[in-house]
Amino acid sequence: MSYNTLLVLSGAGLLGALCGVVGSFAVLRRRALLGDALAHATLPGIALAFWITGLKSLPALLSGALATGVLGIAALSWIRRHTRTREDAALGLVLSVFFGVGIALSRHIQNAVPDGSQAGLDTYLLGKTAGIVLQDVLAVAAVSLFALLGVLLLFKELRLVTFDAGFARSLGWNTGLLDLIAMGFVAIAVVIGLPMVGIVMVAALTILPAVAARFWTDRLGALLALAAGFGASSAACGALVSAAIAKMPTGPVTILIAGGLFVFSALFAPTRGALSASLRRRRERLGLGTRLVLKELSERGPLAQPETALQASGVPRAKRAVARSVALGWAAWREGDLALTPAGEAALREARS
Amino acid sequence: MNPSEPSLFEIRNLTVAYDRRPVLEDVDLTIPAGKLVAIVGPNGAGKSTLIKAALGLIPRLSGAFFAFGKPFGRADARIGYVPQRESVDWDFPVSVMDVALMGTYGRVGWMRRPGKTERLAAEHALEAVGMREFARRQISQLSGGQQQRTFLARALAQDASLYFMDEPLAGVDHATERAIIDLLRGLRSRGRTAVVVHHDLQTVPEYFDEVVLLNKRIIASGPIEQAFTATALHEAYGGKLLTLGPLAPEAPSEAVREVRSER
Amino acid sequence: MSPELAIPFWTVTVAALCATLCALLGVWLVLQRVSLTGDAISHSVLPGLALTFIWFGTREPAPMLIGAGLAGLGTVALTRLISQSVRVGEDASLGVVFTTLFALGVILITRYAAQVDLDAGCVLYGLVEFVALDTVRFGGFEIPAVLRTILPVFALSATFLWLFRRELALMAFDPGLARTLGKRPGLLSYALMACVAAATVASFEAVGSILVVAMLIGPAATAQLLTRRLGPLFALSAGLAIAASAAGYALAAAWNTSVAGMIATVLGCFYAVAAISQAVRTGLSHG
Repeated sequence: MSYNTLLVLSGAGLLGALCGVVGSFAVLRRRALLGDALAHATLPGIALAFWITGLKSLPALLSGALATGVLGIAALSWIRRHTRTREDAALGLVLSVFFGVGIALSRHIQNAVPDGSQAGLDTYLLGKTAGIVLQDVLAVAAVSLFALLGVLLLFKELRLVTFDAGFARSLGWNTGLLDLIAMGFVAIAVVIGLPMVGIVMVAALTILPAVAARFWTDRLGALLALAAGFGASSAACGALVSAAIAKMPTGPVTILIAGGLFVFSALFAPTRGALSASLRRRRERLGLGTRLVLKELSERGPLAQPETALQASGVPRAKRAVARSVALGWAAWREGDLALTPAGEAALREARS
Repeated sequence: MNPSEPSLFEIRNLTVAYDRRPVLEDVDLTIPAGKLVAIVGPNGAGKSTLIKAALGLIPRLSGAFFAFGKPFGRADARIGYVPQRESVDWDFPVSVMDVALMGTYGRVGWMRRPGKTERLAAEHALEAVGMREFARRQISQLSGGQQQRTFLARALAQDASLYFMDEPLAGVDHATERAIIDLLRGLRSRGRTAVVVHHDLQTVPEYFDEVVLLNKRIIASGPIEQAFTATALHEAYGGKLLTLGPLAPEAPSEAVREVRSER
Repeated sequence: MSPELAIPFWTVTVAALCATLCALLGVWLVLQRVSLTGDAISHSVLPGLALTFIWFGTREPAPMLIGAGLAGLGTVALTRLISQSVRVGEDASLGVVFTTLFALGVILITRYAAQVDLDAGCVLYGLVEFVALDTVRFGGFEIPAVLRTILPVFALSATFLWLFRRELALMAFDPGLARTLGKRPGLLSYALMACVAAATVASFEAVGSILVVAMLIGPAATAQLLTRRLGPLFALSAGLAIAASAAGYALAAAWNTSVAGMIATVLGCFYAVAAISQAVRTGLSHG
């Protein structure tokens, strides 16, 4: 691996980590899709910045992106405060209309500028690692690191305002400012993610790692660390894959990897994952079945055909429950009848206490 | 209210409206120091709104507050708040200890971590509400009563002089209710004041020193024996009270039963 | 019809049909507060479409609609599954499902673009200006091929909305009551989402998967600011949709830009005017 590839990978990794961390707070605050609206609202800004400056310099384009992205969020909060449009409709409206304006602007520029230099703007839709110069990668890495540090410093404040904003305000905290800071971190993550991951996909990088991490832990610190790890590995692998294979836009590949991590977590995470949940349910049912076998045996005495008799009195999975009771030494066969053993009596007493 | 008692918190001319619909009108209220004060009133009377407005959590159309004898602008850590249990997401990834520690955040300052002193305060608070052994437990694994105790531990760890509590006794088991009342009395014996939104009229005379009867405006306020009268209750709750006439402090419970049976 | 007239005529007709179809469905999305589900479905039909193209090598309406419909319904079902197993909120679980599916769709389209004659750009913002060029003969007339999808979907959705208008209204207003009356709100909402998926697919070539969201939500959200009654709400939404299509085409022609982008822009302007005038009015009555 060359020095340059390593640099691109660490830039993408830091960006992914930042997205995972700031996204965790947004997801927990039930504001997961705010980042999506913001990302789509950056398109007109990118087009305008290019139109005005005539340059494809990253800082200029990203400043434009940040400007209209923030304008989109401002429009959202204005709609929430001054109209009776619901939050969900407002979000969809801002997202699609700003994107539409952006498309109209960039088509216009493309048709107006004959030399086709605009073609590069399309790479902002789905992201592209290949075209990025090293200097820009360094900038992305530096900003990510800086923002991550900021989140770390404000961990306590962000945790409280996310969990219980009313209480935070009763302590005299300026929760409006804190919300703005949290949103600002999301805006930074989304905007610096645009060149690599693209407008359409970058917000997903703030949602997927956070939700995937939620399956594994009940601690906020661990959640942030995991989300950072998931985000970093998705972004780095995405950059690697799209550089190695032709016709693989970076954004979708990154998100597909993050989606894979999510599916893995949803299936295999202990306690919350689907697999362990269904195993636990089965175990609980089995435990219940065994207890009912002991109860029936102690009340009715030895049973000749225990499986059918127990099934009829509502014991779930009677056959397995009987086998388990015997295997545990709680019941035993005596001349063809199933009977409770002293150990079984003790187990039943314990279960009832 | 007895003028010789020092006032701790004072509300003057408070009006709050949601969507142009007034929820509280011209509320004047004085909270004396060192008392347990109940706020009662029918559904939609503005009980929660009153304490949220006092804490500056919601905007007001008019009104001024005075705390500790000075004009009171923004809330600070000297005044504690116990929100309604339903106001937060109990699946949030924090432990009981984390929640209790949040009470100390007002003293710690931004960008700093709570230290040993704060941990000790949180542990003491958890001990006081009987939640010490659950300190490391995730909050989604708590019963309703345990959730309420956790919120109270956070308030205790804050060590405020005045507490506003929004329905801390709603939907908790009997043991938790007893524990919370003991806790409130403990606070009072240390000179603290608690203003509690309460829904059970029957227990008001037993648990509290003072009562505020509220229905969009203050119907009556003051010591139980003066303010908690059948006439005032009748006015606050409309025609749902059948017993009339002047009553001894214990007597409202008869009238109260009528209200409860109609619920 | 001469080509100079036929192209604008068919472009505006196709755009207006898509916009009206989306607007009528969008009224229910907005009223039931599930606009974001519409957003999600418009994205997640893409892998359904792409896989249908790749496996069956066809762009016939029927398999396309079935593939997309399945993807759309899968989104709704998966979202419910996720919000049940981790309580992260409806928005986050929607976000997880539709972004992953959309990413999959974009990769499939990008890698098999040559076979399916679609590119990622078209997926994102549509090319309604080209639909008039791809025509089929129908009853002696040259009509755009996309109408073979749009017209049946339009007829089906309109019939559904008309037949079930009372149930849909009840569901928007009080889902609990709808359930106790035996109205199966779950089934009805799946049917509505299937219509949304079909409408998205029908509008796909014209406006793409992101701008279709503007057509779904824009007219209904604007109309909702202007009236509170159901009949006028539908009429107004349809009217706004048609007006935005015509105005969007004219402006795009004048400024030499994307028609779909301009339609979304015009819809945004409609909403802005309605919202600002409403805010000013209530502001005045407050003061």
